[in-house]
Amino acid sequence: MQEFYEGLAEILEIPAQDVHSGLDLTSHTWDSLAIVSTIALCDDCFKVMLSSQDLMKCQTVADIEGLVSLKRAA
Amino acid sequence: MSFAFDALGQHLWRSHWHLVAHRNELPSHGDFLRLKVLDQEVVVFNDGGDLVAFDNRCPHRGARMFLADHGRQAATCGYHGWTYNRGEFLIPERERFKSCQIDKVDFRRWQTDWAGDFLFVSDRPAQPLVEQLGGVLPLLEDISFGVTGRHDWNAYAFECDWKIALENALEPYHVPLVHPGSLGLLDLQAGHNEFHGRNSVWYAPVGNARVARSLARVSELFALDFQYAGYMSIYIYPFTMISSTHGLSYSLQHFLPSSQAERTHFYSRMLTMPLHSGRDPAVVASFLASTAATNRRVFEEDHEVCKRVPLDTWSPQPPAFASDAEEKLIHFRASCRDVQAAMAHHGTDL
Repeated sequence: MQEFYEGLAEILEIPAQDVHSGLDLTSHTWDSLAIVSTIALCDDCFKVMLSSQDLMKCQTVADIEGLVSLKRAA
Repeated sequence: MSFAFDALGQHLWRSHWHLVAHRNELPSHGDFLRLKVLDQEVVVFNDGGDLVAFDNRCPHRGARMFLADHGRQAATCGYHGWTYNRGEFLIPERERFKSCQIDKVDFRRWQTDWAGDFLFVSDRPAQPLVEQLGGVLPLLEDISFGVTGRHDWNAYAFECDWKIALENALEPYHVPLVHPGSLGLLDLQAGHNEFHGRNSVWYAPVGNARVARSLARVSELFALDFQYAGYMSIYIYPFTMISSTHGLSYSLQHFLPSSQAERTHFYSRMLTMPLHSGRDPAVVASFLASTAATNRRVFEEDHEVCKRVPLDTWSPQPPAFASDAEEKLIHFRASCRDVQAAMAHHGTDL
């Protein structure tokens, strides 16, 4: 999970220690480039491929983690 | 609206090869696209797998065959039902055409040739395509072999002459002021220009570190055999530009002469690139939609500023005050001087 948080920190341009499950994505630069970068990050870290439409609906880091869990369970 | 006799534009349209389509934009029988140039139209049509280019006029009485810019339909004239299909005209009541050589009927066609999977057309080419493209040919081939299709089609009339619109696309000097919230966000660096005959290429690193890092990560989703990891803008003399950031998609633009004064037939398309095997296109759907929207915004911003520049400011001579960021513009004007000198020497009907 640390690798994912560090990657997300780089995408959102915030310190890695500020990334946690409750982090509000919408208060940062959560644009199309960030979303597609997160798709690539999740592929690297968890070997799952999320859709941009699903990620656009995410409000928090926990929402992304939920999507990853759903994909892994499928 | 006044009529403009644009001798240079007419000559360039007639005598040069023009990139009009990628093979994968028109993959199925009946796929077509249409471009307006001067007072003409060019249709590229997939006729049973062959891409043919013609003037969009029914050879019977001249009605337009296609009324939309792109789509898939039979090549049927809505006036009397003449239909072109797999190399032949199907003519209702053919036996009644007794006093003419109906077997010789055909469209007015354009010659076609390929640079990789990019289709070029020309009316009366002054030179073979391979010579016109010169050193830019391998680059176009590399790009073309990756393109999977078209994502966006954007067409409208720029309210300025084509040379004004094109020169704007050839220089990045205006980017910080005209595109602060769009193209300017990339913070493009000075980069370098390459010149290949009358064609040119600008390679510029992306200075925005966050964007550059993100694009590098996103690149991993794509199966790219060719990629420039920065911003690249290719100019294909005389009317065509291709630009891309990191080669994740390509914007194909045309600045075509109009028969109306101070007007340009502007077209832009976004060409898509392949994802790694088995990956759903939905993965990058919002990214492509956002890229297309940003491209459209950039062109609107260009259009707004180009409206300010009247044609009487243009000359084939270099600008009296030119930045080194305007090197490609100066090269374009030198090319136009060469062409105009040849037109004067041989007469305009080269």
